[in-house]
Amino acid sequence: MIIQIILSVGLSVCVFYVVSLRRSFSAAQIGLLAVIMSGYVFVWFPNLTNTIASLVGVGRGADLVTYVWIVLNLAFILRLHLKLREQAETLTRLARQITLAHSEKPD
Amino acid sequence: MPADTNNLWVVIPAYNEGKMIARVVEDVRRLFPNVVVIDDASADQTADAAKRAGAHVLRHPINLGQGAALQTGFEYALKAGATYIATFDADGQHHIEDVILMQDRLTESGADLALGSRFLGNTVGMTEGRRLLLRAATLFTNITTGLSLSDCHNGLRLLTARAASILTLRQNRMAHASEILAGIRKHRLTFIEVPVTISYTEYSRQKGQTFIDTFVICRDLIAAKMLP
Repeated sequence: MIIQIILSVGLSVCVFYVVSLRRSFSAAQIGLLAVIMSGYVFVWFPNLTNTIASLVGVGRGADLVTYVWIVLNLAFILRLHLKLREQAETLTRLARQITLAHSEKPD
Repeated sequence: MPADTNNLWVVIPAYNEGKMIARVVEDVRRLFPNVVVIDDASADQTADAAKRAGAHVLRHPINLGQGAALQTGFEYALKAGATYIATFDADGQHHIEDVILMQDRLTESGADLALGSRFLGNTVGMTEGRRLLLRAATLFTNITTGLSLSDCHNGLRLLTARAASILTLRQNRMAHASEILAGIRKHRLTFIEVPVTISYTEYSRQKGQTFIDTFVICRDLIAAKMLP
């Protein structure tokens, strides 16, 4: 009972964070909310994971949760990488303008 | 009629080339007066040495990579009124005489770009490992871009002002070489290959790309496809 309350509070913080990201909901946000909602379900009905695990051919529910978690993390890392690239492009344009504004002609 | 050398700008990206850059700039200026060196935030005296040797100098405030440096150079040269822009390596492996031939061929053919090819031309001191790596990279690039080239990772190129303004480089690091080729395809630019000589020295070998860099290039190319 205690762990379920702690995990639920954690998931609620996640919901708050995802909702606060933007005012209009994007596909990624809706996806994240769906993941969190299924988190609530599995926290309160852990046996459900075993049922689904045996359906898809994984031994235990806990294993299934781990596998899904790994895949989701990889997706997050990829997203983060792309975000960083976008920022790097902005930074490049900014640095280029500074460079061109301070060009030096030969003596 | 000899080609006009005043409307051609030689763009040289440089990172920690303090020992070599003055010699390279002086050598280029024997034939082409307009040289712009982009110092990619070197830790050494690259920028000052280049300026003393008679180059225009652009200093990146932070290290951005060779592709970013080329794009900065393109924008500067275009603003200065260049008709032709050559990309040239700072480590002394290219020969400026080749650019004369490239300019002649480009003018004759009316193409948008002239790409240097060491496999049509000559190499001095290339190791067998490097030859294999470059052959593999060329095959890979020909498959992914749909072009048919003999040498696709050659830093010696000559672009018309039109081509340089159309090809906006977004690949900051090494993948810009493939990006240029992909851009040729995308914007339906025309190109010719011109035989050039590449001289490998102990110095250029240290600065050159390695096998691991191939993975970095592939990753950058895939990531670029996923961005808007």
